[in-house]
Amino acid sequence: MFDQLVIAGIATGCIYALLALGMTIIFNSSSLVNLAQGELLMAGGLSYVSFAAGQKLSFALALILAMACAAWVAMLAEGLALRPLRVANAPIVNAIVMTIGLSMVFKSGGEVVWGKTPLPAPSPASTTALWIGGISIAPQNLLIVVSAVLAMGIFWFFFDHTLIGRALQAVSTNREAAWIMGINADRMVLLAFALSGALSALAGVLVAPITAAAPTMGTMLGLKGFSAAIIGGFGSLWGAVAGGILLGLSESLTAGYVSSGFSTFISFGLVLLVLFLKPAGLLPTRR
Amino acid sequence: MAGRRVRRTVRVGGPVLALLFLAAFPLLGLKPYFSQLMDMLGIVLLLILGLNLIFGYAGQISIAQAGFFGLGAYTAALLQAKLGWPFPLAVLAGVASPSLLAAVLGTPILRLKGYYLALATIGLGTMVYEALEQWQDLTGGPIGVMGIQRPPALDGEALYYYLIWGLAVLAFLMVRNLDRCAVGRAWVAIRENERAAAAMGIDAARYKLLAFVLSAALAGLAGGLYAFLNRYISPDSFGLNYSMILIASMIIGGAGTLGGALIGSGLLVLLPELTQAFADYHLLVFGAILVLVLRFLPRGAWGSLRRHVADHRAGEATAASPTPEPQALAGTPR
Repeated sequence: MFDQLVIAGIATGCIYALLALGMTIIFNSSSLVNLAQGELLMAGGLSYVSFAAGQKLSFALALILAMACAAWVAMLAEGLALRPLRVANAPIVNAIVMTIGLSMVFKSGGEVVWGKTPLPAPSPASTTALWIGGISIAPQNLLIVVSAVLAMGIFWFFFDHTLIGRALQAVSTNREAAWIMGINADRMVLLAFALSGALSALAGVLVAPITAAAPTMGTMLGLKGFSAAIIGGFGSLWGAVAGGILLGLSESLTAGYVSSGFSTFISFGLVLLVLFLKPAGLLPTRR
Repeated sequence: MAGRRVRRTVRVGGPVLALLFLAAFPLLGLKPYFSQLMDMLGIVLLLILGLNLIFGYAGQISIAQAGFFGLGAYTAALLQAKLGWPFPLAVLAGVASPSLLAAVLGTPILRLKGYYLALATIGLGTMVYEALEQWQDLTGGPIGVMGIQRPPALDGEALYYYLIWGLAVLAFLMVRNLDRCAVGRAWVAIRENERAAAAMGIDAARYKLLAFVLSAALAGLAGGLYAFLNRYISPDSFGLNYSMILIASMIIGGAGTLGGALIGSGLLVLLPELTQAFADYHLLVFGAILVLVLRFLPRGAWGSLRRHVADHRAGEATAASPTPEPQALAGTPR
């Protein structure tokens, strides 16, 4: 039972980690906390269902299109709603509330487009459990972990080893200095939103076969992603990943050993405790 | 000057007319549908006035208001339906329980700022909601609480209406008076710059806690009244969505202003009714209005109106020195 819970926890943790990573990328590039991150996951999950089940496209193609859709939504949000606030030098609270407004628009927009009933999502993974070293693993969980690790690897390579990725890092580190070096900061922020949307969409595609795809699917996941980012010390990319895994594990273990109904209650209790005792996060890593 | 006389007439006549309308409303003999709307308007006004204290005046983002609302409603409902407490005691307990929660958790929560504070209040609101839904032995879970009984004396719709609006008007006056005394000035000072406020000798932690507890108390009062109005409650009314809708209404109306609280609560109650064609999609309309307001009128409807009038007056007095005002709906140190 313990092994099962750990594996399920790591899989859930990978979903949180992808969301937390997405929030951190946006935060680093624009000092903005995007409370609509879960809705980007929802946009990805639902458009994936439309492409994969509706249009009968292959998994890979539907995944790429879903990631593109969410990236496009994120870029629209940045360009039309959030950048003007930054240009007007509005206080941070206005921006936080703006992302709340966007999350409301996206969620109900999703209901207009896809309806309220949860849609079943197809998955390339089979439903019969795999036995690896005496432990049974649901193939979907394996798919989640492998894809998330792969995506993080690609992301790391892009971030550290390509010119655009390094430009993005430069903007995160020092906006003015990056500007002097000839980096277009606004374009980099737009890129950060696109990347963040794509990562969240991947999380949505991976989680949809388990939870089914519905306009409300992203709300709670988004908040967990936010919690994971803060547990990891907001601003640190690998802290976000570690925070996600930690939160997923603790949630899975409390659901297994304490109470499944109260697992969300306990998760947020732990998050509050972390905020009270160590507001800089449990994993103080370098920015 | 004619302008001044008009303004004085509006300032005195407006509230008098509003009170006359409120007093005469049940006598108009309108359909129960309208009195239901008016009752809800009073309850929502209490919620938004409360939210205004912590978020609008003191500038501390709080996404927990629906949680306090739910805690108050469930406390009052369960004490009446299960233990048979009399109405006034049940409602008082409904005020007390969220206030107590806010008093206990307020100090560590309000030490946080910006997005940390946002997450902490989201966490608090979600924990209350989850407790209401999951603690089935006590709360009845998703089914909710039924069989909440009003005392026979308050059974008439008109009397209950007067009770709700009497309390709402009292709360309105309380917030107005707080706004105009040292407490309100301290809140605004904290909102605009907490460090500067502390340097002026304002005990920021204490004033923030006061705003938080009062906002929870008003939400609890609204909750108790709501439980006895509907006679049935379920967790659905008290989720995170509702906290967000309350924030949206407050900001659309104008954060940190009394007129804004009135406009916001009117919008929150009437918009879903006016947009019946959108069925359940009033969240879309709300979100869209919120996004547009933040983008183009960051002070909200009332704030912008007041600003416009002030500019007009300044032009009238030919004292052409527009006072710069921060664009904040609620400022936190950046």
